[in-house]
Amino acid sequence: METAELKKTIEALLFVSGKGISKKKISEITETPQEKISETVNALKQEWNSNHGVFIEEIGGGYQISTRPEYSPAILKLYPWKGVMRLSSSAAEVLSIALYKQPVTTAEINDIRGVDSSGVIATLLKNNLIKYSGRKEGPGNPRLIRINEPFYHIFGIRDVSDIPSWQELGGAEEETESEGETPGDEIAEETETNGVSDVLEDGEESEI
Amino acid sequence: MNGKNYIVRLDAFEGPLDLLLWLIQNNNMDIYDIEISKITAQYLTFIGARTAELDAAADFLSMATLLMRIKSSLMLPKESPEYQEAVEQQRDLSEKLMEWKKIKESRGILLEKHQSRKNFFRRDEPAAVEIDKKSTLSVFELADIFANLIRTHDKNFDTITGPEIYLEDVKADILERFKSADEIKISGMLQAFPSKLYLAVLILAILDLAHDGIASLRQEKPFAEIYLTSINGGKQALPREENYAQEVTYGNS
Repeated sequence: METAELKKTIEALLFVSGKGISKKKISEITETPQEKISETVNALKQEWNSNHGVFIEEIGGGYQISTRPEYSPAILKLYPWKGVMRLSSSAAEVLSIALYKQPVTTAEINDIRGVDSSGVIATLLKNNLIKYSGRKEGPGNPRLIRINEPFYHIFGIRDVSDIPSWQELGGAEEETESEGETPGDEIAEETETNGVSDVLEDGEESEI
Repeated sequence: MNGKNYIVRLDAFEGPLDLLLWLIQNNNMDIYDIEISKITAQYLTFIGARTAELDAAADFLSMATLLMRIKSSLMLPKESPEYQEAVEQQRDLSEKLMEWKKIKESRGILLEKHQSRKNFFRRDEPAAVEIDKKSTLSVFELADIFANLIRTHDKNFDTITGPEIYLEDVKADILERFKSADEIKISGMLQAFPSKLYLAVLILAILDLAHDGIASLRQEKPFAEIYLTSINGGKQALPREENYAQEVTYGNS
C-alpha cells in the first residue's frame, strides 16, 4: 500500500476501534510489513503533533488514539462519569497478581493475598480490567483469570519494559540469596515475553 | 521492637503475611533467613496485645500456630522428620513472604501509574463503575437508601410465602402410616419435609392425636427418638371425614 493511503487507513482503523489495535493486526489488514507500520505511525504522530486534541499512543503493544491530557476538563464536562474510576489498593493488588501470575485462579489470588478476593475480582471483571479465559486442568476445573486489554490503557503501559519484571520486584538483594526459583517465575517470564501483546490479539478475537 | 512507641492497629495490615513482613523489615531481617523464635515471639506479643480487634482474625491466629509449630520443631534433633518438615515449612513461608512483598511493590507502582493516567481518555473506556467501594457506601447508607425507596414508592409489597401445610393433612398422613405400621418414628416423618413449619404442624398433629386417644407417645430417655404408637392399631380410629369435622371444631374452640 502506498504511504499516503496507508496513513489514512491506519487513521481510520484507530479511530473506529477506539481502543488499542496491535501492530500485527494492522499489518494483516493492510497487508504491509510491521516495520512499515511502525514507520507510518511515527510519521502520523509527527503530523498530528500539537495540531490535534488527540494523539497516537502506544499501549499494550499496540496503538490507540488518546485525548491530550490538557483537554480532560472539557471531556469531563461532557462525560462526568469518565473521571469516576478510582482504584482501591486491594484492586491494585489483585491486578498485580493477575499481571505477573496470569493465568491465575481465584483460589491462587486468595492464597497470595491471604484474604478473600472474590468481591474485588467481580468488580474488576465488570470493569473489563481482567477476564476469564479458559479453565485450569485439575479438581473442579476453576476458571483462569487474565489481564484484559483496557488494563494497559488505564495504567498507560506501553509494553513490557514499562513494568518491572518479577525478578526486579521486591528488592534485588533478597532475590540473589534465594535458593532456587519461586514457582511463579516460569509463568511470570512467559507473561513478560508475550503476555502484553497476547492480550490485544485475544481482545480482537473475542470481539468478533 | 521500636513498635512499642506507637500504636499500630491490626487492621492496618492486610493479613498475617503483611504483619509478618512488617516485623521482619522492622528487625532488618532477611526474608530467606528469618530468626524464627524472635519473630514468633514478636508476632505473638503483637497479636496478644490486640485480641480485642481479633474478631475476624482467624487468619492471624492460624499464622501464629504455624510459627509456633515451626519454632518448636526446629528445637528437635536435625535428623527427625519433624525438623525436616519445619525447615520446609519455613522455606515455603519465606517464598510466600517474598511473593507478597513483590505484589505489594507492584501494587504501589500500579496505583502511581493510575494516578498519572487520570487525564488520558480514549473512546472505548472501561465502564465507569467505582472500584474503590470502601470509600463510597456503608451498609447503613445502603439501608437508608432502601428505606427511602420504600417510603417514596408507597406501595404494598407482596409477602413471599412458602408452601402451606395444613394440620389436617399431617394428621391424615399419620393415620395413613398407621395402616402399615403400629409405630412411627417422628424423625422419619420429618425427613420427608425438613422445615420448621412442618415440624411445628407435626407436633400439633401428634398432640392432637394423643389428646383424641388415637395415638400414644413413647420416649426411652430425654432427647432420644420419640415413637408414635397407634392405639387399637389405628383401625378403630374415627373415619377421616369425622376426624376432620372434629378437628375443625377443635381448632375453632
